[in-house]
Amino acid sequence: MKRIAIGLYAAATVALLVWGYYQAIFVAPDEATMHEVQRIFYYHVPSAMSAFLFFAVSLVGSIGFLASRRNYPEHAQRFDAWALAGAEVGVVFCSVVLVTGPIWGRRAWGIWWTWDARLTTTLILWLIYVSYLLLRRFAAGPQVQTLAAVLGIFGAIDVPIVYMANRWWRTQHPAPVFFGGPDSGIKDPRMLAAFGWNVLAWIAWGVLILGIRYYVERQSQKALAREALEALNQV
Amino acid sequence: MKNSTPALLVLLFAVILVAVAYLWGSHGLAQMDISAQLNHKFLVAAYVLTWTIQFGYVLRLFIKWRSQKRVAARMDRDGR
Amino acid sequence: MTRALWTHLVKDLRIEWRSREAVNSMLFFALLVVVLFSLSFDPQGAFSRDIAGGVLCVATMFASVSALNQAWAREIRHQVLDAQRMAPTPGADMFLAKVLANFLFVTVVQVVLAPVFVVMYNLRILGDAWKLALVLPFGTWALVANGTFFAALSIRSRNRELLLPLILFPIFMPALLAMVLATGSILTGDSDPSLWIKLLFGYDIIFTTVSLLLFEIVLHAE
Repeated sequence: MKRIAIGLYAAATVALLVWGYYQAIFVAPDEATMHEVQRIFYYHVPSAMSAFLFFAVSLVGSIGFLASRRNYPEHAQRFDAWALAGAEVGVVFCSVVLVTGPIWGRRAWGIWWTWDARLTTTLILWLIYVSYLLLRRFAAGPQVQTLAAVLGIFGAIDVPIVYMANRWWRTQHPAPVFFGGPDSGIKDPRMLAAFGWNVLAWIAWGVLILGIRYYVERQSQKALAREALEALNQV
Repeated sequence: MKNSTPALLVLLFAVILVAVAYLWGSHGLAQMDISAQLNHKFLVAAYVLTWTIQFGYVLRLFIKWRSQKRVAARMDRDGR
Repeated sequence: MTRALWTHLVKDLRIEWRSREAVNSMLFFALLVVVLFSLSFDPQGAFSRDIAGGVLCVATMFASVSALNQAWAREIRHQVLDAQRMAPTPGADMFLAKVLANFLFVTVVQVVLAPVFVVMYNLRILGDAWKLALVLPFGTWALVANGTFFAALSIRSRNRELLLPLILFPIFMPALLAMVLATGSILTGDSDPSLWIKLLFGYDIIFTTVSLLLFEIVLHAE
């Protein structure tokens, strides 16, 4: 039963992705100044939103792990798996943002990269979470979960500071499309629809791979626990 | 047979990508002016890279999962 | 200031006084970085003022990493760290003492380096020079507080010497940016650095507090 549900969800996600692609390429109208290259926006922004969402999942997992590691070790293991899965999937989406952004910027601004508030924040966010994944790979043994959780919290605290620092420094990125002032917001309903479908599709896709990553991590946690138990039994 | 599955998956994946890039990239390009052509190529690049990153990651996950299952099966066999 | 903190601080300073390993290696390394940058960019006039702040900060940053790695490696030998984990004093004291000691070392390096730096880069400070006395300590504190914390975090991992810069630099970036921009605006006298000094101060407060709160967890991670 569970298998069927997961299969259905995966199929629905792929269908959503195809539908979102169709909306973005064939339905949404051409933008007046940027023309075709503006369609990158339909992949770029939903990926950025998903990345932030999954980094938030990772932060919740880190805090949950630290809070529960003494009294509820079983819960703590789950939290840790969420923290790792969130960070890894977030890094994947963040990579998409960092790759599609310059491609768009080259056509729209004429430059690949600029040290602007949001670009720099995203890049540093990516660096922080890559360093988080590196720590998990380098540090061995049972303390790695605790150390990674601490680093995850540090990274999350750093993000608003980075953002403020760069905002004071310089800003070139277009103002936020939503909640960015009186002129913001997408006017054309077909563009809005294409954008909305892609947000939905990419978040659904992200949740799917988050679930797979979580499952794989849980399996490896169980395998480790089992190995430890068998080693104990042999003594 | 079983061990060649990842390689096959990678190959399939590459074929899909090349096909998509070719079909979409060559679509009506001759009638466009230079700027529109460039716009189109940049758009194709962005979309194809997005898929490569996303599906590549999932592929890696599946390979990891499979090796994990193999290890678990070996432990079952040897353990008892 | 508690007695445990004082004891730790005196101990760290005494060890360093006897060997002078950390300060000497940092000093030489920072000097090398300054000379290398001077060679590669041949700084003159206005250009030297533009890049000098960045070079000074980056040189300090690279140099202090080697010393920070050593800070806890000393405690690992002969299981001193395990003994300290069992001691009834709060871990925060030990952490703060280490930060203070390393802060002193890096400050010594900066004070010695400053004249060399002025000579090599032909500097003439156009802004308020006294503000450097705020920027450099704040920036150094940010670097040392975070660095000591992450050195403790990475101490029990494989290849810890490699890991420390990898996890420290991304977190340190906003402070580095503020430090570089503040130093730059003091040297060129073009703009007011007070915003960046405030940012550095805020960064110090936030991260020192978080480090003190979380250090116990890192120390007792098993």
